[in-house]
Amino acid sequence: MIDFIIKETRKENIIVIEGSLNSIEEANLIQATMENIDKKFPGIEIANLHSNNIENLSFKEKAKRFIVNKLYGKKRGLTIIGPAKLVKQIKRDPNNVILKMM
Amino acid sequence: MVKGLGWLFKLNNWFSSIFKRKKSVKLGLYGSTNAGKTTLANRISLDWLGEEVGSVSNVPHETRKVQKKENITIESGGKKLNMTLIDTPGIATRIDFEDFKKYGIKTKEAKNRAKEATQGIIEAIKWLDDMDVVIAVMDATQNPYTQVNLTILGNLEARKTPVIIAANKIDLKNAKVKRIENAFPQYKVIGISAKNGDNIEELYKAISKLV
Repeated sequence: MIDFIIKETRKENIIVIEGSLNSIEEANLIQATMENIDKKFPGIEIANLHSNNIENLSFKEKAKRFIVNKLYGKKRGLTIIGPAKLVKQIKRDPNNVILKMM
Repeated sequence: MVKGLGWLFKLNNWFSSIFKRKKSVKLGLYGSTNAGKTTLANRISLDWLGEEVGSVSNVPHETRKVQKKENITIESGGKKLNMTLIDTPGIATRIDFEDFKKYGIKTKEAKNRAKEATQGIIEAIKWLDDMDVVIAVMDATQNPYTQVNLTILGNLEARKTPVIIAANKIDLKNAKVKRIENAFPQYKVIGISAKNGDNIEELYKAISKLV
């Protein structure tokens, strides 16, 4: 997966993945990105649009998430990764995501 | 036979407890670039050792190597804590040497700086496995809800590493500690100014409580 992301972002493609990377995968992706940075590839912008934190959710929300996770697997959510050359910034808050392009 | 060796187990436990007490804790400083990690490391080190850890600058990626200060003993809340302070390079997902040129750095040096910065980030991520406790340093004037902050906190949570969030730069007018508290309500957030030393005692207390 990480090799695929690096390969595609190097080709200046924006990737939208159905599912979310976990924190360890995100760290591995950052490491792989750093290893690949050169004159033509200054890195990536990434937004993982799935909060793993459920502590602050109401019981109803927690129950809903539990059922959805059981039905669709835990890796639901959305991950947007763009090449830093094209995407200036991915602005995010818990509910929105804005891609600022160069 | 096993019963007869009871005294040996007791002796072993006694030695273990002594060494556990004397164990030096590895305290890591993590965060995005320009959050004030080295300023905080310098503040802690100056307070307890009387010497600085590294140089600070407004140019991003000033710290490009993991810097350590050993044998720092902090005393707070009636507790003594011996620790190794580990200041890590700021984590980022992009490093463009062109960005350094905006600060008047020449192309060759900017390229070198970018190369070193990438190595520093790799090193910082590798060090995540070795930390006993981490202060996640965030710039209180910025939106805390960044992927870098989420990735750092997520990784520490996955490793079950205790974390305190230092909401830094409260000396600046537009600092909003509440915004960080709202973004990460499950963590202890302490507003500080590493530059001026404001509220640092609170941070020491929190570290002592956590370890």
